[in-house]
Amino acid sequence: MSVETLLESLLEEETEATLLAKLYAVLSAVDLDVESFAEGDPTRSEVYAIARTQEAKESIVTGAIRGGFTDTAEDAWLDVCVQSLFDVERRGASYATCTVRYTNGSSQLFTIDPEEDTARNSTTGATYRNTGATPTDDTLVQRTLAPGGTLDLIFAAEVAGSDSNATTGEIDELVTGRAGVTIANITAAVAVDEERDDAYRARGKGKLSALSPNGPKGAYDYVVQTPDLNGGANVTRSRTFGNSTVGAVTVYVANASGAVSGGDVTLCQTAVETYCEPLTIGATVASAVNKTIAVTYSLWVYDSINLTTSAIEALVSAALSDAIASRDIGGDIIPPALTGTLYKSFVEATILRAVHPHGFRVSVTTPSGDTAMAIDEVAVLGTVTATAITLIEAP
Amino acid sequence: MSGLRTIIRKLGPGWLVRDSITMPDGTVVEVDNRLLWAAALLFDALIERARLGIKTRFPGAGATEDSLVYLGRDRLIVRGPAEPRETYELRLRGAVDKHRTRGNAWRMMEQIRAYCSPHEVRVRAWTERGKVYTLDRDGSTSVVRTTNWDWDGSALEDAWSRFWVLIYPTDATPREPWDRVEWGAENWGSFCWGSTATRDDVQAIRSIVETWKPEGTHCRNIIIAFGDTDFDPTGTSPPLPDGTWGPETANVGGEQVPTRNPNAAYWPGSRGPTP
Repeated sequence: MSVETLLESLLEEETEATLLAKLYAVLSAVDLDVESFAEGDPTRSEVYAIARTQEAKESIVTGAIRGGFTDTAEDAWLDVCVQSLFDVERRGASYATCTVRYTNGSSQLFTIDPEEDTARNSTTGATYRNTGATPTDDTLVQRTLAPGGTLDLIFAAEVAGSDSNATTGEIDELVTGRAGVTIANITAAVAVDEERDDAYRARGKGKLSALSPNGPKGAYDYVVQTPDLNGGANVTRSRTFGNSTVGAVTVYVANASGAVSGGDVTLCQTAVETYCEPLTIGATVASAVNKTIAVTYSLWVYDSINLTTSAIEALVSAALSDAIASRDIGGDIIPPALTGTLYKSFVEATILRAVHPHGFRVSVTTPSGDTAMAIDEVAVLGTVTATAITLIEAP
Repeated sequence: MSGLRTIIRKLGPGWLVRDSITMPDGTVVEVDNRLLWAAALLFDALIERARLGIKTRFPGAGATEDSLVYLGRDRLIVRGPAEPRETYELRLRGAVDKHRTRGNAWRMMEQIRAYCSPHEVRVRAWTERGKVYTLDRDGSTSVVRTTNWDWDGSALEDAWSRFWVLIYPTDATPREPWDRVEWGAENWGSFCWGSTATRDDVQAIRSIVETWKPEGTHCRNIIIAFGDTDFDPTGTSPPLPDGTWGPETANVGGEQVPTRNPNAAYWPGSRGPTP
């Protein structure tokens, strides 16, 4: 083993089997008669126990070694690594909030204390609790719903993340009993999920760009994606184009769902002008435009996967959703081309990776080929259709 | 020897932590319990692996050649193909300070010069406005203002954020890190046009320019100047660009002739879509 490739070897994790083999090799080398370790022999049991105990420590040590480098760190170690190297914290999941309108069809007066009422999205089952505030009054106090009247209250999701997202009207059940009262949300409930590992790594490294007042590449992306700087805008992806002869910079922004609201674009524009745009440079922030990517596929999988076809379909859909949500705005650009592409081979690879190592063949009919993307377009997953998922007996 | 193996005999009563071995000559010797010793050996190996593994994340204090690659990625510092390890580790440790002024001509030229090390090249950044920054072979710096640079006749208001990067290889034979190469010379097919630079070299230099320039600016070309006195900021136009250097050749009297200084190689500068 060369010292020069030490890291590579240090990252190799021993298994119980390899540890057992090493233990027996050492015991043989010190003249212990390992051949006499019959089944049931206490010494043999001790050797197995040592190997198993050691194996449990392997992943901890490997995780700690990997945790020293942004590209290899994972899970909690990634947070430690990025925080210590760049002083950047992972963007956590937010709680969706929205305005819910009460309509009182009864002759009864109701008083509603903060966090007293629970509402539910009958489609998704997500639940929400009133905060006590109204759209025009932040104070958390008791509110009154008059007979025959209406009342708008701010509700917050009980569970963080995008699973609690709801379009207007979807939150339509009042779980708390109030006879004669109906509800519906009059604004959408939107939340973001915890920042993905790949996005967190990129944003951490982007912090280096933001250290400089000279507007280098990366500074713009860091600013528009960091909640502390962008005023809380829901932006999880961005791409900056600044190859200009007249000082022009354009920053396209998107979130996990694609295009960003006008309000969030304004917040990002302000952030860019405050934190990274040097004098005489003209930076413009614009929302990316959605490019819907529908996927239709057939898949062949060995039955060693031990899942039903509907479970496999769900796995593939989740993998495609994650993969498409992580693609850069503008697609993948191979110079000297100036515009990008979402490659069909990427879609195929994502599907096979979702069922790895049991899948061995995929046929994607939609998209039929590579999808061209303009520099302001962001891929958004459309309808996913499994034409056929064929389970083959494992060899 | 250190570690758990050295403390086995202190871990319990003799019958548990010691082995008696009968030697071929009949003598009996006492050794540490071999099963415990074997287990301790594995634990010591794990501890050593953890110790070395933690050290690999520190440039100049335990990092290995392969961990330097990851450290370079984290700090956005590209290592030159011949750059000595010691200087690269120093650059990694000082990376944050350099990033504090990224976008400045000096930081960009320092990165290019380090990429070319240990060869002492001169690097020059020439802006459309005529401000010329020079980082010389001995590390000295100078700034000159000139109006004698007209690349393609563009008006300043249409191209004010353009700049050029000039790299002067060593004034030796052969020049380092790159020398001229003519069509048909030995191995010419493995180099990029006009010099012994490889595709990796060109992409690395372009990447450094892209990373260390300010957004909103455009590097028109990266020029590898083989004449040590060429492109002198105090010179006249011509031989400095005289407004005709946009295309590489021009039709003069029915004949296509080069427009630019033939004693240089011209690489494309900034890449990617314009905003």
